[in-house]
Amino acid sequence: MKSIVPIGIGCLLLFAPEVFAQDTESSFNGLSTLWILLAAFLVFFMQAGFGMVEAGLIRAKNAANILMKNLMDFCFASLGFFMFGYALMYGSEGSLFGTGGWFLLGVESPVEGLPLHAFWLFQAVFVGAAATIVAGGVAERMKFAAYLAYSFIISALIYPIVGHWVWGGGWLSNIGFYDFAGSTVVHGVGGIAALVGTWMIGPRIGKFNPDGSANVIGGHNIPLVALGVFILWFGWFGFNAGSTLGFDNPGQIALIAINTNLAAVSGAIVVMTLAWVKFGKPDVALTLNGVLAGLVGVTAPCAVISPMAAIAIGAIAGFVVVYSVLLLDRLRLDDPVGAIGVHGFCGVWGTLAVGLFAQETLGAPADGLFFGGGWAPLGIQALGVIACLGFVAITMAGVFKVIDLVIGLRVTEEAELRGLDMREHGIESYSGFQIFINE
Amino acid sequence: MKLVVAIFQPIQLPAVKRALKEAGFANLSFTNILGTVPNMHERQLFRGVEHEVTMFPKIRVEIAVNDESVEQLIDAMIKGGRASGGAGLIFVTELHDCVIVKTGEHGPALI
Repeated sequence: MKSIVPIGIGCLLLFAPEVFAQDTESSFNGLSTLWILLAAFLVFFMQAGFGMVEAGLIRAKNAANILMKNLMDFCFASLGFFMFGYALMYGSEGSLFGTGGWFLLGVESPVEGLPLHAFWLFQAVFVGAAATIVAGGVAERMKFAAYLAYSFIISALIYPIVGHWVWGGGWLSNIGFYDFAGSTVVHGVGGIAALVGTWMIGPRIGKFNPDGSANVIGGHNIPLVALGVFILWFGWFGFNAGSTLGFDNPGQIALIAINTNLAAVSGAIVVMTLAWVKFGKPDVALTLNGVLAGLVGVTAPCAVISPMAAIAIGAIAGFVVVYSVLLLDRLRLDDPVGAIGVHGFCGVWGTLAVGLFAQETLGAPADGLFFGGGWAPLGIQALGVIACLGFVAITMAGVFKVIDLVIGLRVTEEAELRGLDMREHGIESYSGFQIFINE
Repeated sequence: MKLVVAIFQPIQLPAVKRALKEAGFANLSFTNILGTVPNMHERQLFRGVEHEVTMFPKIRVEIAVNDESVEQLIDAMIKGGRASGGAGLIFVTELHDCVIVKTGEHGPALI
């Protein structure tokens, strides 16, 4: 008798196309739609990856809070992108932003053969990824309500405008700026927003001493960080390879996949080696960041570079992330999870790498510097980086300032010491365990 | 010999350690404990059900000293505690003996 329900549901799903048949226009490309939806599901799973990485790198007393921020920023991002963001990003082909398609009404899919809803979902999960990057930078001290407000605004307004410039027919795409899967649009935007937020909210209590030296505030669960990095790596195959927006060129998809993987491994190996040489030990948390650095770095160029180039790009991303972590400490910017280094700095590197390693024969708008294209492509990439990140920096500074005035950005000192899990949510992440301090 | 036990808030540990080191008491041990704080209670909420929390994290620092050094140690602890918010409670208990395992020595072979 118990098996009736699963069998019944199975039958329903089997006959679903007939049951839920809708009016379709001219044929959808089934394989492309399948691929893009699958990729969207993979990128969605990256939310879990971000959540685990962030939770593992902060203290136990704030774990539930950051996971709640991670969960809800995806929810608010989806909503904001549905209501306003998609229209601004893809609604029409203005040079600065689109119009039309508010609440996803009255607009058609911009990709032939791909249903609008599949395209929207794929784009929406990217917005979620960008929004959640900031949670890491401001972790352990940002007010929850303030974070919710931020996540809606960045998803409804800021990200879509940058996305429009690069992918939605805006001015950057018209001058040859190329960012295949979002080193700038997603990671650069998230990283620079995190930088602005981290700078404005100030360091955690006890992070920096009066003489400027930094203290260790250790992550409470390295296994979670490792799990998170593997989830992100897995999801990144959807992030990069799905950005083909179709399945017409399997060779290209395979190239993207191999490039994604090679950049990740080379980032990890370089960071491990650099940390071993520089600090004396193969640093686990930093090496895990190195994987992400390589992945971010290859995100812009992955479709138009050779695998050898991917290795090189991942390797350099490894150097970038290590030195950016040290730089941020010097600048007294407290970034608990390395979001600014991984996403911001490496996002910039990945975008510039297009100007160095891209090949026209693989589909790039122009050859990079190392392939005879001269300095112009690199210059265009740099211009795009400055424009996008400058725009985000200025607008996010304004957004955070307004949020600070209306809601307040930072929790009270007492709440920060007690832990945001209890103070913001009234919950213990690890009820039944005694949370230790070890210093 | 005395065993001096001090209860502090976790955030005070770095300042207390510093003050102790400056006064010459380099060796200490501490445990994490939970304890009540007068007039402090929190509301824990789990899936709509409330629970009153009255036990909060603290640390318990323990140092064994000779009678001559007790006042010095207490002053150092007070200095460290006051430099980091002012909370803290110090208990002085009588220590009857102390034995070092490796050498088998008894008595005031400490500070």
